[in-house]
Amino acid sequence: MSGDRSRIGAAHAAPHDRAARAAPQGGSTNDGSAPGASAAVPPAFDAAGFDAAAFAEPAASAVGLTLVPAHMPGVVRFLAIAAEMAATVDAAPLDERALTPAPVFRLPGPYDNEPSR
Amino acid sequence: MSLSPFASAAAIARAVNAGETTARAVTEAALGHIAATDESVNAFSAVTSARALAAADAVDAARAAGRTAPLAGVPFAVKNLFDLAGHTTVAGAKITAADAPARRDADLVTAMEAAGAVCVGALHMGEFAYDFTGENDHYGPCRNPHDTARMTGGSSSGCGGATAAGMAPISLGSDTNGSLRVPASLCGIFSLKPTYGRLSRGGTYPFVDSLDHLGPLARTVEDLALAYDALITADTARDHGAARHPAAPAGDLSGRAPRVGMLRGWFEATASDEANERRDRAAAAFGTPADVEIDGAEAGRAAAYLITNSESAAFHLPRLRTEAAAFDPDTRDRFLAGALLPAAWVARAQRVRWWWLGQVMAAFDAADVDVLMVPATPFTAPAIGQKTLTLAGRTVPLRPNLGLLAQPFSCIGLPVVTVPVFAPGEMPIGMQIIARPWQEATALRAAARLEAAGFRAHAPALAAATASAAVAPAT
Repeated sequence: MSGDRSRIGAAHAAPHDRAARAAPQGGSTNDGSAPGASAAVPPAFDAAGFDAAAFAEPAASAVGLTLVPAHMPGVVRFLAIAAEMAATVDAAPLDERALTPAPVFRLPGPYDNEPSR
Repeated sequence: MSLSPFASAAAIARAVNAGETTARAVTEAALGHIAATDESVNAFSAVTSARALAAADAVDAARAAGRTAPLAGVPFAVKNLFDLAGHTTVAGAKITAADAPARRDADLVTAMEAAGAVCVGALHMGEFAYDFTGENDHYGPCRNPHDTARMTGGSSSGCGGATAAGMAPISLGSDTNGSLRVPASLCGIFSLKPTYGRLSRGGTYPFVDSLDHLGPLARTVEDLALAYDALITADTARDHGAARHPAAPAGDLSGRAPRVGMLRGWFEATASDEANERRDRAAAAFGTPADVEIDGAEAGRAAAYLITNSESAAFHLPRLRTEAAAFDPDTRDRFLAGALLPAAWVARAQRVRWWWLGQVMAAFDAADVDVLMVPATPFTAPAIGQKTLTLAGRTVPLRPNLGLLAQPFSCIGLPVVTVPVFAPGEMPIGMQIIARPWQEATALRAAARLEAAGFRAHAPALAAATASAAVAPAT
């Protein structure tokens, strides 16, 4: 049924690596380390240690929300799911010098059968 | 000549352009079929009969004057987050029901009508599009035409139900995390989620601006392509996110066979055996596809979840402060939780999103494939009211997880065509055909190959039973 197998590992660079472009010529940064290298692996966020019930009320107060008792079980449940997601993204092996916070997301291109502008 | 409600958009347009029937006859038949069928499906929130008949008469007048159109007389309907002039855009919610009516149509509605299509109504959806199920506490669940005890999927639930049941050969929906692909998968029809930024979102109610896409659903690939060709002509001035990138028409669907990669690893482990078996059926149409594994899919999906949860909740925060009790309980608590997420979680998710795009683009290149294929949903349609799923041995909430195979690809904006894979008598499940950015034509070509191999939208028994009564003769 299937043919060749390809596997893309976790260490592949992003398609347009800002950190790589911004790095000084010669392949090192100002402190002499390789571009994108981290001196030590930082500790990851642990969702198991996140107390959603204790977090919810003060966080709601900070954004002007009032959580009534009927909403709390659902809010705590969804905060716990979000914490698991946060732990997953926290564990992704990012280049810690690459920053991509942009809420407007633009894709690269064109590709082979697209006319260029 | 009379046309079945399951006639394709292409067949309808050919017949109208050839003078074999009229747009008015097609429209009256469509309205009759909706009246006979929708009580069982609950797809329509508004049927715009007067508007439709006036538009149909305009198409017929143009035809009489010698002007044809690519979608002449083709009925279509829109998810009720698209503006229709004179109607309130409720976006599946109750708290919007008293809002002022839209003053003009959404850009994509204008583009469809410019191509000769006839809007027959607005369609139900999950509240504010935060839904994979098709359930809605305010307006009732949309029911799957293949088994009305089962979900349509969402959030473009009415689109899935209406197009599968023959009530609209083309519908327009939205997809933030899978909301075109999940209902297409569960209802057994085709959908096209174009590249992020490809189609204007002007005149639609937003959900998550940095993830929202609009696109068509249809019962054939040719109809998807016809709709796409009309939609790319839309004005984009009202959408800040519209890409300044040229859009080519879908082109020849029978062109070179695309090279296909089957996604394994996390995707295969997360889908049910049934979904993977359907994938293998579809794969056979491509000879010997390559196996592709990509590390990071779970992180890409998690990024989509966090961005969606936070950005949508921030958008709705004023309403959550004052009217939380008026939200659908199944969406309210997720919005409330999303309003509280630490900024660091969301910022990290944005970075992971870009990293995950790199992973996928590298996989296309390494495997030397044109498209990737993976099921659109991990299961066939669950029962209405079902609250949990078992995924990879874990029991998890159904609502946030029904779209987990779709989320990794809307998160990075890639074009995806969903293809129904089922035999008559089976519940449907769809395959995602994922292409590189801006390569909608490649995805459509791969979908056409599957359709030619027999993977098509079978008419549900429910709607077929009501169809004959609604077929009107040409006038």
